[in-house]
This record gives sequence, structure tokens and C-alpha cells, in this order.
Amino acid sequence: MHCDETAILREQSGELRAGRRRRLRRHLAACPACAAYARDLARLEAEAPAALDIGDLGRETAARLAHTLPIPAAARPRPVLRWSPAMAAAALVLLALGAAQFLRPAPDPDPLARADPADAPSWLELEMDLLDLEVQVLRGQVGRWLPGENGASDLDDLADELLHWEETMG
Amino acid sequence: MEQAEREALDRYLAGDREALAALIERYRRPLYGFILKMTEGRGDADEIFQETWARTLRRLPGFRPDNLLGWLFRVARNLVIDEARRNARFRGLVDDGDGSPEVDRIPDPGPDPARQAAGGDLGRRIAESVRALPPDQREVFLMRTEAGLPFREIARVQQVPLNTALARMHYAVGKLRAALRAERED
Ligand SMILES: [Zn+2]
Repeated sequence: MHCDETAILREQSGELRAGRRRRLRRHLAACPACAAYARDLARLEAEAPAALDIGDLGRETAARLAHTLPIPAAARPRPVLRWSPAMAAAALVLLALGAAQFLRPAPDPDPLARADPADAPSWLELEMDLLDLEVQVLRGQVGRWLPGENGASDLDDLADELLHWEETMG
Repeated sequence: MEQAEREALDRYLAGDREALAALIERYRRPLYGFILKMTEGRGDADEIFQETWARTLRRLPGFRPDNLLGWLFRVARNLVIDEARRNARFRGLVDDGDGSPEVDRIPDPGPDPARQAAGGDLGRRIAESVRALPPDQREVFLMRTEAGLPFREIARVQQVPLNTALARMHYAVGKLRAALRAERED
């Protein structure tokens, strides 16, 4: 392995996979320059929070905010669905069909165009959720959604999100 | 999202104001610090901090981000950029024709109030070096070291590929290592 400081950065943030991490360890043992980089990075990560700490700045604003922001009036009553494996499978198909339809809207002419995330739905996140759900089904975990188990909330949440975004997108 | 964060959100959505207060205070240091250091004393940190929470909470009943802090950073970052554009336009420093981010060209407006809290010599050098970083690099460094966000999430906040976020951190670390060298030479 040759020098790759971004691997050291990802190791430090816990985002390096095991195989890559083993290779990086071997490299660090043999490369003084990278070893020094890793040491300095660790030092910076350790010192920066105190060096950049804002102390009590913003505390009053935060406290005021906590008392002025709207609070949901009451827990929104959720429709209670009784899931059977067949319903779960059907719902999944519907969700997948629906998602296929609005997960791929007209391609953004500029993928780096900055959109306000508070107003724009995160297609990627929803796509990841769906993928996750499909994997669970493939693993035969449909039983999680049987009546009486709180696992039903996964599908409820997803359905809610789809409906909400459908409304948002008009 | 962490279990504790998820529970706090659930309690807020069920009408518990204390849960909201705890969440806001929990993220005050990284989030308010980020806004403060990215607005560089232009004086709108309070307003942006409040608007960040207001916008985020408006989305919450139907939408649950998998990383709440990352989501807050995304909203805050966009507000900071908008504010910087308005500011620059107001001062007539940028022509607002091309719509490209102008933050990099905004001149240093003065002392950073957050610096008052910084500690000893090394702490002061780090704070000054961070302040001198270009905004994109400063953002990555703050999100990584103050908020502990993984690079995957930082890349999402900045809407850039993972490698770009990593490269920005690498440049930032390169510049900050000078602060460590200066300390060793003392
Ligand atoms: Zn090396």
C-alpha cells in the first residue's frame, strides 16, 4: 500500500473496513510520514473541541428557543393496521411501485445545485430505507410485522413518509 | 440515529417541551459553534440557529432523518450561505448574476466571538488556523472534530462526493499541522 492520508482520516472516523484497516496498520508501521500524520491528526482531534468550544455562547438563545418553538398539540393518532404476511408483501409491492414512480423524478440538471433540505425530500434516504426493507423481506423476516408486534412501525413510518412527500411534491 | 436521540424526538412529537429543550441544548455547542464560526461575527448566528431548528421541526412529524445533527447542519449550512450572499450583495461586493457560491470571496468581517472561549497557546493557534481556513474546509473540520460526524454524513451535508469531503479535511489538517509544529518549536 502506498501513502493515502484519506485512509488515515477514514480510520480515525471509524469508516474504514476491516481489510483496509489491516493494510493501513501495516503501512503505518513502515512509513514514518504517515505515522506522523496519524499522530498529528489524533492530536488535533483531541485538542480541537476545547480550542473551538464556545462555552456558554448561544445558551440563552437555545433556552428561549425551547420555549417558543411550536410543540405538537398532541400525539397524532396513528392508524392502527393489523398486518398479515400477505398484507405486508402487498404493501411492499405497492411501496416499491410508488417509490419507483417518485423516487426518480426528472433528473436535476445540476446535481450539485444547492437545494434547501428543509424543503426538499431526501430521495436517497427513502431509497435506502426501501432497500433495507427489501433485504429484510428477502431474509424472511416478514414475521416481524405480524399483529401484536411493534415491528409494524417500520412499514407505517415508510408509508407515512411516502404519503407526506407525495403531498409535498403535489 | 442514537437510541437516546430517537426517544427524545418521540417525546417531543408527543408534546414534551422538556425533551425539545434537552435536544436543543445537547446540540448547542456543535451547531451554534458551527454557525458562529461560519458567519464569522457577521452577527446573524442567533437568527440562523433559531431558523435552523424551526425549519427542521416543521419537517419532523412526517420525516425522520437518520442523523438529526447532520440534518441540522445541512439546514444551517444553507442558511449561512444564503445569509452570506445577502450580505455580500448588500455591500455590493458580488454581482448576483451567476448564482455561484460567493462565500469564499467574502472578506474577513472582524474578530470571532467564539475565540474568547479558546484556551492556551496551542488552543489559540488551532482556533486561529481554523478561522483562516477556506469555508469549505472549515466546515468539514468543524463537523468532524466538533460534531463527530462521519465523512459519509459530512459529504451529504456539503452535497459533494465522499472523496471531496476527505480531500477538504486533508487540506485542513495540512494547514493545522503548522499549529502543532509551532508548538513543538516553542
Ligand atoms: Zn505513507
